[in-house]
Amino acid sequence: MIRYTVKRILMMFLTLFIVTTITFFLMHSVPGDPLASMAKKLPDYAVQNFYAKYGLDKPVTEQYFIFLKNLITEGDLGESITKPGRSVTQTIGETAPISAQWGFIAMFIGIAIGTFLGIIAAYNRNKWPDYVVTFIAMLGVCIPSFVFASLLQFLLAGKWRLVPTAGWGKPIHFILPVTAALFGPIATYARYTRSSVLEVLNQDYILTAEAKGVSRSGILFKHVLRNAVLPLITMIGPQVAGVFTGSFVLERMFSIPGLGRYFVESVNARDYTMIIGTTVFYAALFIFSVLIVDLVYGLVDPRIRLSGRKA
Amino acid sequence: MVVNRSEEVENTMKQTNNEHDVVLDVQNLQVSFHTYAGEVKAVRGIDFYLRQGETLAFVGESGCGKTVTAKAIMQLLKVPPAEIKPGSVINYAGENVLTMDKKRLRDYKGNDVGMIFQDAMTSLNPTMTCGKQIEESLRIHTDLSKEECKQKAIDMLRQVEIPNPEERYRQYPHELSGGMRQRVMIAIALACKPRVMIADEPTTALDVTIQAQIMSLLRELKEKNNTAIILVTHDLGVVANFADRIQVMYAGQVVESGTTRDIFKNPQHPYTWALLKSIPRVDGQGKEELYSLYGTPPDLILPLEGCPFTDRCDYAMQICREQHPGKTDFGNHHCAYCWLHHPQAPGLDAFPEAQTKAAADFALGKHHAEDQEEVQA
Repeated sequence: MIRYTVKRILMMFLTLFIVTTITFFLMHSVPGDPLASMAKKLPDYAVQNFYAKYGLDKPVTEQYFIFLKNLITEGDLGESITKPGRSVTQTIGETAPISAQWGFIAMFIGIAIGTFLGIIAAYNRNKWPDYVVTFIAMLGVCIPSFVFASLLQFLLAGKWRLVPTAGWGKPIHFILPVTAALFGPIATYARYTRSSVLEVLNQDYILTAEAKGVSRSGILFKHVLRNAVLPLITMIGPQVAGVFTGSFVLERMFSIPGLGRYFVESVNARDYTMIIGTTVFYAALFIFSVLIVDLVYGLVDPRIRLSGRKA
Repeated sequence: MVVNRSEEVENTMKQTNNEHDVVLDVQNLQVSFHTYAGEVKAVRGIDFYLRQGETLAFVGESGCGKTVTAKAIMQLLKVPPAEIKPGSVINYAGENVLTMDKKRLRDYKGNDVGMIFQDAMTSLNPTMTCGKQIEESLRIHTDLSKEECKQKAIDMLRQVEIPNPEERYRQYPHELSGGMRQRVMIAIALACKPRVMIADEPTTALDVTIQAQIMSLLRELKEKNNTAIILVTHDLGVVANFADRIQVMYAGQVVESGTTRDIFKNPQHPYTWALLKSIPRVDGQGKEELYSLYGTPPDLILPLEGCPFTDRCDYAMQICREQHPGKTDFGNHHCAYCWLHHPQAPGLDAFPEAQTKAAADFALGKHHAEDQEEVQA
């Protein structure tokens, strides 16, 4: 288990390195640069000074090695080019927790509700509760979260004036964005839980449990859930990354000073350091959550634990 | 071997031939499955009884209703699509299983009747230790404390002859071999000392040597606990050494039933002949083709007017298609459903093409006796 984990962490750094490299060169191969718009108005020598300041006058490969050196030795992702004076690490450190706060709340509530609905649907297969859940799931999958968001803003904030339309800082500000972001995970988890539970219910060992005289709830909690939860755990990895990357629309709509907004802005402005900083952060987060998922998997399913030990 | 076994059986049967010993009494059991294509009548009016400590084997090919009958006794059929038709009776020790309330039924399952399934690989929960799975039924059906349950579970593992029971208790099913898993299944089924155990093809998924081990283990445990067993199988070889009585099933009906000795020594139904003939013989030339019965069983969606076996029978007559044959009793609870035994039926000589009976006799070694008689004459 420990050997497996260590091996996986080493692999994680390798993956991160590859992601960083590819992002760096892809970014620099796109025409234009962060200073292009500024350069039109400034005299030549000033422009050259700026280029020299950010190291953009050097060849791309040299820039790459300087960037790597800073990252590895000091953990420094550089300074934002379009917003001078703000380091990328600092920006991520300030904004990511905000995205995480409301994003994880939405994710966990969504997963809980989705799983619950999925179980209900599976146990009432082809009866009305199943159809209702399937309908909700379809809506959640088809309709983007910003549509829900504007609907909620219109009803809860605009018409009934229960909550503020947008803003950040008080608990009441959580209500709208969290509710709007709930539907995605609810839909995904309801669908997956339903099919996963149905599959487990058809397994022979459920029949064995019934033949032992185990009650309905006993079968659900002791036999069905643990086996049905495996595919659901797998999906938590992408969901965690989605909390940060998928939220930029909602963060903009509700004026939440989270990381999602900076990500989009930096791409538009070709803010090299900011782009690569956020990308590395997202990649690290994603890989890390996948690692955690794999480890949890091993805890839930003994068969995987064994093969992990061998690896 | 067969002879000795059956004589023993008859002796024990004489001792236990008593109305009060009947633990399971099934009358006119009819089970249907409602599908899009129509109502599949999987079991069509089956009667049988099971005495304490007795082994009854259901024999027949796939789809003849063996497993459905077994599951109906255990109340494991999913309703719907399954339906146990009104008029069916399943009595356990004088109590109607079909009218039990939920609580009584949960107690009945596992505590009164235990069940072993065919494939121990898929029938054990992969995320639960073997010990916990055995313990589960003890926790449900007894008032034992946690520690006592654990000790009992380890004791059960020891009883099914699993080495290092303490260690196995903590292991997961995937860490055990196929034979071990089936032993764990048996331990689960017998944990609460049920009076009846249903073994649904317990050895089909195992190789032959393990099969023999499992069967001898079952026999040992059965004799020790005086458990009655319903053995569902299509392997007559397993049945010969193990069962006291045999019930041959075809297309959801019983075609012949009797003691193991009667079924093997004096079979009366053409389907039984065909079954016996299909057992490969060790002393054959080794070159001959193995026998297989031509055709397929009838579609169970269709109503069956006559005898279900007609289309595949060497001895089919006009009457067989038109009317269901009545029961012919040969004494000693041996009976068959076949028109050949009607007083007006022609003898077997009237079917010169037919091979099954002669071949079955050959399989049973009867030709030796006849040859000798001829020589003497």
